[in-house]
Amino acid sequence: MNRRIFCKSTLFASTVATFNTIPLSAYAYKDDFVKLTILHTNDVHSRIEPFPMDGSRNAGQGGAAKRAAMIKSIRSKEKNVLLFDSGDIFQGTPYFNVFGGELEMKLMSEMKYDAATMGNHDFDAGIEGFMKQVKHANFPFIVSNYDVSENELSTVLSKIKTWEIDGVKIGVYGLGIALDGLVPKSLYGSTIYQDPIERATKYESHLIHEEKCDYVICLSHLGYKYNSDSVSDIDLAKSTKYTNLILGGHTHTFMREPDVQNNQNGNPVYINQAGWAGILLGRVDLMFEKGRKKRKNIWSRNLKIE
Amino acid sequence: MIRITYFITLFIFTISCKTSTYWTDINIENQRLDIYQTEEEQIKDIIEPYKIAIDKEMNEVIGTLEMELSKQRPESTLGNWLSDMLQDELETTHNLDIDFSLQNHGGVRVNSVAAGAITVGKIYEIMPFDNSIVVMSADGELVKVLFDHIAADGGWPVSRNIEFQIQNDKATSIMINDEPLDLNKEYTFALSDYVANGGSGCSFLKELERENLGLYLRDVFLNHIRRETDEGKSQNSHLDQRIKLTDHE
Repeated sequence: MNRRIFCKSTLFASTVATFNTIPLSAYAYKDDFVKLTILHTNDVHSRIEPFPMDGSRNAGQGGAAKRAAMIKSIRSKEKNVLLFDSGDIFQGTPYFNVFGGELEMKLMSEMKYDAATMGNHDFDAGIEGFMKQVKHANFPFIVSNYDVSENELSTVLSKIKTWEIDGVKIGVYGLGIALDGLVPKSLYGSTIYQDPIERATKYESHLIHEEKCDYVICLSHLGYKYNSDSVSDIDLAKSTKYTNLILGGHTHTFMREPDVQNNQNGNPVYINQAGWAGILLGRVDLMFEKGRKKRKNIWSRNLKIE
Repeated sequence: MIRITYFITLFIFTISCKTSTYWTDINIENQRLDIYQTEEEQIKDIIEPYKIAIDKEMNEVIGTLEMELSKQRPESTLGNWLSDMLQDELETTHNLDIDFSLQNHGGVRVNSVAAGAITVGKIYEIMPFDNSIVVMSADGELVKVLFDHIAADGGWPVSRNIEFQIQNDKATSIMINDEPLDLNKEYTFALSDYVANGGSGCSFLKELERENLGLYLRDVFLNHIRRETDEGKSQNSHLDQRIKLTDHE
């Protein structure tokens, strides 16, 4: 059922191909390596209970209690886990219509989400409605491209966040979609959408150069890809320099395997999205290498360019 | 020579770089939460009181449906029922002068509704998303584009004042309020913000000016059924060939 799609980075693959001297059993040197597991959801859309058993396509799938059990089981096996959501927590079942998102926030807090970004539907109860529910969240919301300086959201939204895990520093920024046309103006009020690529390049650079992060993740609600000229995660990946991983949303894309695009520096950027409604739990396992062996990887990267 | 330059550049970069940790490997997989996945009891306990309240609200009976309704193309009893409720409610309760109204086929989320009691929950199932109603105006030429799109998609729920045939994936013999479509006339119509914003392949509507009524489609249905129940009426629907499939050539 859980078909594993093992996806080697081109970085690693080319290293192996070029330098046979690097032992494949390198991970045996445990002190040199840190493993980090990133779990993520998107567009859960108030799917508190599994889809009803009514013979429909998704019958019995999803549900917060199942997701929590799966997350708990992974946490019991993995030392370093980060849990993110890429927006549209709200809207889709009566739980939202009746309780305004209170239960969604409480359950995500109970599951120990580390951060989330805002989706367009998270404005569905207005800024006031979001402010009311965010009190039930014990995790931060990260949105780097909404200017909220003129409204209350400024007190609860962060532009970036960093985590230091076993000596590895992870930097996260978040991108929201253009609200005009998607959300009534009366709901998003004085929130100003800013060019996501311009903001992304600014904050990824800040995370690398100022915060000295080792790895940069974008929680994106832009959408995976479009036929129109709307900005997508693919556009984002191609336009940035330091973002390593994009955890997407909005387009409800069930990805069989991550998309890999080359960034401005010719390095791979991974894009993943976990469908919607909590039917899937996205999982990214990362291996970090500590110490002074950096040169060989830089070397391999440049060999690729050559 | 190029190699040497690279080497020097890299060497400088390496020694000037302060971070000494970097990622070497990545594995990504999406795990499915299927029906066999165990559940976390603590989470179920948190949900329980909310579930009881939701069930109570959703189980409220607001009307009676005289017949079973089903969702089909090109027209259906369920689609016609929803479309006419929308049209009636906008015309009577909201006093709007609109030529027609429509909904996208995919926006109706159930395939059938059983005859008998109509609960609030049933209406939520039909329309789970808070799509609000948008009113826009366009000339007959764009209306033709819209109807062609609906025809190519096999037919959508449209209000009773529309009539057309689907011929080779195009809308033909179009009648609006018993008059043939006039390509130069300005028409006013109501639809969901989702479609107006380009959803269901309607990107040609995206740039049009619109007025969002700030009114959910679902609430219009709930209000309509409640009002008619108060007036002693039960719910009904019928097929009237408002969209008809003609044989391909």
